[in-house]
Amino acid sequence: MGALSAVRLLVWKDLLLELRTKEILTAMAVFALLAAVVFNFAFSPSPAQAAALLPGMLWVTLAFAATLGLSRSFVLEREQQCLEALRLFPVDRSLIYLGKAAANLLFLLLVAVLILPAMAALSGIALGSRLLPLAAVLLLGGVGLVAVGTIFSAMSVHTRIREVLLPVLLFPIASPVLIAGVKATAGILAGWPLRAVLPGLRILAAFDLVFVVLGYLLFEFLLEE
Amino acid sequence: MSQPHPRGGSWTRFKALGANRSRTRWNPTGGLWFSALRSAPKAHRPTTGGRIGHLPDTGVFSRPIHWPQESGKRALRARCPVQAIETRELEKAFGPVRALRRVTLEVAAGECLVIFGPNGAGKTTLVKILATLMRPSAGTLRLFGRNPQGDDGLRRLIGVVSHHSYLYTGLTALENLLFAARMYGVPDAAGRAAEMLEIVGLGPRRHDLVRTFSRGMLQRLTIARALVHDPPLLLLDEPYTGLDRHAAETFSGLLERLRGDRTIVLTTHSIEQGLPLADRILILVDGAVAYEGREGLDDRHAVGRLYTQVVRSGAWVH
Repeated sequence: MGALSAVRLLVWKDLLLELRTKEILTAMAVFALLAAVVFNFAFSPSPAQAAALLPGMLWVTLAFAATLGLSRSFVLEREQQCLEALRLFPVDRSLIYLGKAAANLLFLLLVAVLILPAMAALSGIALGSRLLPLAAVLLLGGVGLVAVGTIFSAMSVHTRIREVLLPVLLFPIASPVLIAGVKATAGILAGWPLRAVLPGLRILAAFDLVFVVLGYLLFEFLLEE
Repeated sequence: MSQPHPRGGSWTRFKALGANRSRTRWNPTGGLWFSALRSAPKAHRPTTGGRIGHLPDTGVFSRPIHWPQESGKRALRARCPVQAIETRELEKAFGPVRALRRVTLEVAAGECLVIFGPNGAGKTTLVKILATLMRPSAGTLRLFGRNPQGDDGLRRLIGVVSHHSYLYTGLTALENLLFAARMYGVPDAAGRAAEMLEIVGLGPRRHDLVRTFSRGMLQRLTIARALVHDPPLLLLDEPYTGLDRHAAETFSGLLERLRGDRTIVLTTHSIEQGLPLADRILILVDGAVAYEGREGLDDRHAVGRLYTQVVRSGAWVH
């Protein structure tokens, strides 16, 4: 079986499970929407302030929503020791990492698709032509968050304090993603030219590359008892 | 004074139980049948028809194989002249705790080895190492003559039934089997999944979520999942855990039908459940092989007494 087919099957399985259980996406989406509403009431930004506040609100919300999803990502695999079963399949065990990360990214992007328009509407910002560059930033930032988050989620799944451990491990390492994501989003909303936003995008892309490769190489060892 | 058994048992002890001394001696070559197999040319490959023919390319069973129509252990061993399992001085330590101590073991293709041992004897650790889920701290493992380290394709030859079902309770029975079949690269995965559900009697419940299944049904589905890719090696770790008498009997019947067609390693602490399936038994105590033999297995009470004595006297530590 090809690597791509194996990853596709793993993602298919996670999506099907999510469709049945509605555990991960529901929690992430409800949290994100509530956070958007709370932020809006807390800051009550004027249209001028909104463009400056929205990037921070968006990435903080996404980071916490990602933590919610990532902490559940391997819990379903732990039930009935399905993670062991995945390791029995005759495919490179690192593909499990890519499959889980891809499913996590899909959930995170769905949440982003939900809250970006919601936050923009609440703040009175018209996204219009900025949608495409914003989508690129969200994609690159999302890959970074789930690349690191999936590694730590697998590491913490066997511990009793995984809900606490995951954000403690994730946020310090993922801070470059959050900082670069906020800066790039702010630049796009402020109407900066693309070359001004490019350094942020480069940082995100470099981070993604490093951690996806690292996760792929280390994952088999992380799964060993 | 009792003569020490080469693998840690006692001649006198077992002789007292009515067994023939000369036949109970542990034979590292595995007997005449195995010796003949060992001299069989390794290049031998069957060429016509058969039920495991769809196994994808994985080395020992490599290339599109068409098994002969004949069945049984002789045919199986003829087409797999190497040992299904070969371990040398396997050790596993978890910090200061030695879970396995110098376990040397050979299991021929088509043989059913039942490993008995009390709780904490190292049975699960041994099965996990054989299933390539765990690396040994020392020693070597070869499956079908191949080193499993870094050989992902080799896992296609292994089916595992554990204490846990390895099933997603949020998916239906069919979806679980379909997922496993596709991950194992089974051609016509949908057809094979449906066929396995019929074999284990769960065809009418194929679209039901696994979380609605009873323990017995779950175990039947577990074995269907383990066999969906038709592995020549089946590892069963305490498969009777949590089954009531009826479900255990049904499960034994299912295993009985699988004997001979494939190599089976079963661990259990129940003599009553494990013995009827055994071609050979091995008693594991404190991580070491305390006894190994293939004779007198039709006398459940004698084996029960032997087991009690071996466990009480402790393992023969190398």
